[in-house]
Amino acid sequence: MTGSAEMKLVFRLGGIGFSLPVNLLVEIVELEKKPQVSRKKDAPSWPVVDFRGESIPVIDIAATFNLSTPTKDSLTMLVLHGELGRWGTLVHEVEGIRPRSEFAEKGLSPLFSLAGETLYDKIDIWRDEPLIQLEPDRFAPQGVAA
Amino acid sequence: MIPKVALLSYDDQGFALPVESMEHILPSPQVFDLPKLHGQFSGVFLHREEVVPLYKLFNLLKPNNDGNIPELAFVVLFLTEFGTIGLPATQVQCVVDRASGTVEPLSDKKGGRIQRAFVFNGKKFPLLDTTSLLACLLSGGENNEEA
Repeated sequence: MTGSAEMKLVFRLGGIGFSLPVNLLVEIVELEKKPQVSRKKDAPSWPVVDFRGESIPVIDIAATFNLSTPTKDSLTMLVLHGELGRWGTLVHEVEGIRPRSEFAEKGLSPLFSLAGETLYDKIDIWRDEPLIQLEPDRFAPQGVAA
Repeated sequence: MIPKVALLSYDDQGFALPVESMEHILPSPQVFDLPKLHGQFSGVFLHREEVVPLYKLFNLLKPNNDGNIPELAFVVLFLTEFGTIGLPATQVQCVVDRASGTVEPLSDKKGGRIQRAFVFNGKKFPLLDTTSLLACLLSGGENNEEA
């Protein structure tokens, strides 16, 4: 039986492909409405949604990457494991879960980081296309209780 | 081994490359967009399952261009100590012995990213080497000075 550590999720933000080891993924959820930031006093600066009775923050990774959103708001959310708790991020398209053997992992040369720290260091080559390996810990909210 | 220089052009802009830094020449590869790339890279392509950045060469050769970047016919894989860079080109004019030309300052202006030219048959070809290419990357932006 194939373990989750041997599978990867392929998804897209603004048409750019990303990969994520499935063992970092809790669930893929279709939301009923777009998450909104609470206007309550002392509310966090990011939206929160209810996930199985737990309020989890939703982080806009697409905005961090400067990737445009499609005209229709995406309601597909990946729920991810974080060091300090579960959190969610909206994605534009989920392509599917594929065996790890379909991917060839490549590190980026130092040329890519000459302008400073980058948001990603590794690429998965999948079907002759470079996919960015998403490292959730780079984007997970800090200081969120488990 | 006799040092050689390749004379190439990208649209109407000629340039020179030291042959020992040229790893390979590829027909126009499929170029992919990646987010948050260095401003001097226009995309990436795959070569032998390596991810190679494509350099915005036209902006370096013709800083005051009108923004219309010419299509590339092929890409030169150029070796640097930080990795391989893809340089777009439209034509290889010839490969000559380095001794058949001279290396001179490209212009009297100081501060340009390309400092030297290879002069062959009375014509100046901006000489691209690791120093000039990496200088633009390390400065964090595109060249706004005349080469």
